[in-house]
Amino acid sequence: MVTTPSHDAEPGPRCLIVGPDVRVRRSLAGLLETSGLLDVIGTASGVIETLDLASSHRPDVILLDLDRPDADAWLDLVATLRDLCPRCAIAVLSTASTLRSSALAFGADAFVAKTEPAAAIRDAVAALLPGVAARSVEPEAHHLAVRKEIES
Amino acid sequence: MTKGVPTLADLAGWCVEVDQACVPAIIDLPMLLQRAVDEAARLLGVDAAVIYLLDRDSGRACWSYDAGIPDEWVRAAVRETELEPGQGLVGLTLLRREVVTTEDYGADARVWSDDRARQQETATLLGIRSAISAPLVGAREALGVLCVFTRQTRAFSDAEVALVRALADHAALAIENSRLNEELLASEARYRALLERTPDAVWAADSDGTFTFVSDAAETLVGWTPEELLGHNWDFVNHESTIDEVHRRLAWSMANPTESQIFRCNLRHRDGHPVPVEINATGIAREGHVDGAIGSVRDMTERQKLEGELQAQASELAASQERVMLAQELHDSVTQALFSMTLTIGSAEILLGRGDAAGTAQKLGELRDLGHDALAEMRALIFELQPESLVRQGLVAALRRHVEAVRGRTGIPVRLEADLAGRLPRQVEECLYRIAQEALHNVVKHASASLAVVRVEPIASGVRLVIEDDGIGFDPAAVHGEHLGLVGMGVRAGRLGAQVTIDSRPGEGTRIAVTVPLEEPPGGMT
Repeated sequence: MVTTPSHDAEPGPRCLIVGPDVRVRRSLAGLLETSGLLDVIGTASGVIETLDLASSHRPDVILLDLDRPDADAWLDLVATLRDLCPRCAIAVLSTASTLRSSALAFGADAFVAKTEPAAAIRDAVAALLPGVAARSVEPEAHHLAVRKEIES
Repeated sequence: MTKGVPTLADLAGWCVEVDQACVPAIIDLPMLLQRAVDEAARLLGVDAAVIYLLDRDSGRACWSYDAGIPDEWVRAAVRETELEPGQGLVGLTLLRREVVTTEDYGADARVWSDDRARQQETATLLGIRSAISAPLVGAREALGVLCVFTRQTRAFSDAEVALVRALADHAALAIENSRLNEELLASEARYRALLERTPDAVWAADSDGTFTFVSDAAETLVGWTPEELLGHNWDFVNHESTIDEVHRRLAWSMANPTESQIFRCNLRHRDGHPVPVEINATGIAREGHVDGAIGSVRDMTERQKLEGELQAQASELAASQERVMLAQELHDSVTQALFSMTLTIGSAEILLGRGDAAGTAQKLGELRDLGHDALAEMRALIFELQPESLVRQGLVAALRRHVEAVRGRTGIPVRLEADLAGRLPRQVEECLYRIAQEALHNVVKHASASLAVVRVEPIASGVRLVIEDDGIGFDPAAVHGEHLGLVGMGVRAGRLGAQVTIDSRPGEGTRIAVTVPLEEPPGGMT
């Protein structure tokens, strides 16, 4: 499902929303677009669909709702997406805060707890955007920075 | 003293005695062998008749019985005799395994000796001149030798030699039979010990079901001793709760001899209480007609108790698994709906702040739908929490609720096509509902389907449930069953004698069909 960008004339960062629940995907897309933070270029629920959209649309931000029984399997997908879109910001959402450290270890840039109020979730996504801008300008520098971080 | 050639009647008398003695359990071997030397000495009028038996361990021929020796010191010397293999006339006889006669033992060159003079001396001293020596040969081995000796030189007649041979043969026969008898008794004792030590009671009954043998374990089982049970019919210990079953089973064993069966029933203890047992029975056929049955009886009291406990644990486990599943369902459905509502409220607040009345109204509409869905899901889950809801409302209503909930949550259009006029047996409805639930869960989780159909339809032999989707499919041969809960479906279905068939291929969707046989197939509405 591809939704057209909202009211904003100037194209913002492009976002892919992935999650098992259609209502969560829709309401999240609604909130982020209403806030004028992002253009949601698509939503997906399955692995294949996700990889298809990520490789064909090259989104700037991927929001992954990992509130699912097989969350562990989906952590692997985070790593795969990381390799597929090195310049993209990836945020993992879940009600289970125990997932935070593993999500980051598998390459997510941020973890957003679904127990937070809507405004806090919006702010957490907004905090990712400056990094997206920086990476799109200087991908090489970003990679170096990441490598340094890993080495230290 | 010479009695001359023994009569045929003399010989026959002794032979009959030996033959009678061959009947197991009445044999008195020492008496018979003593009689053999006594008769040999008496009938032939010789100065000594001796039986030497081979010691199985040392291989030596040892004195065992004698008769007719007049001098006490000679008798004493003879009784010390232990001959090495091959030594003396006895050794020669054993080597040849045939009757050997000699007129002058001391000078007989066939007898092995490293000192001929000493041999002559010993023979003279003991008064051994002429002799007949006959081997005692059993079926597998030589057993010993029967010898008769005279002090004077004597040429034995053929009849005398034949007599000694006959006595030796019969002595051998008596020894063989005695040994076989001992082996039989030992083997019997082993089986008896086995019977007595096994906690199962072993029984044998004739074709009327009357006990002909009962092992000691019966007493701990039903309180009657084997002696008290013998001669009584099975009905003596049958408990009224299963008496027909036991009759039917025993009749089957009589009708199908040599085939075994195992069945469970209750026996009546001496004090009247039922004893749960497992009976093993095999009919016995002799010369083509049924001769009764044998078998064992195992006490199942402890096992029945354990089975009961196991069942209680299993249902407890099932209940706790059900709770885990419900928690997961609550999390997947209502929690996500409420989360979506908070996000939508967030959007509405932003739009309201901008004065966007139309946008706000749209968000409020979405909120109303979300609230409606959440309520439907809560109702469905509360329905799950009350198993009697399925009983009260029936399979079709339960499936309709579930399908609606899945549709609301996942956005996948799931259709229910139910064509049932009436209700199905409770356990069938329960089973089909759970299988449909599991299958839809798989569709949502794995199939990436754009359409799914749940169908319940009557068929000639019962009822069929089909869950179909147009998703990515899978290779049933390659998938790990446990992973998809397919094994669980098979187990559930198996309890009802139902069959689960899975049709799927990568890229071609999945179709799961469960066929439940019913004695009274339900009708359709159409």
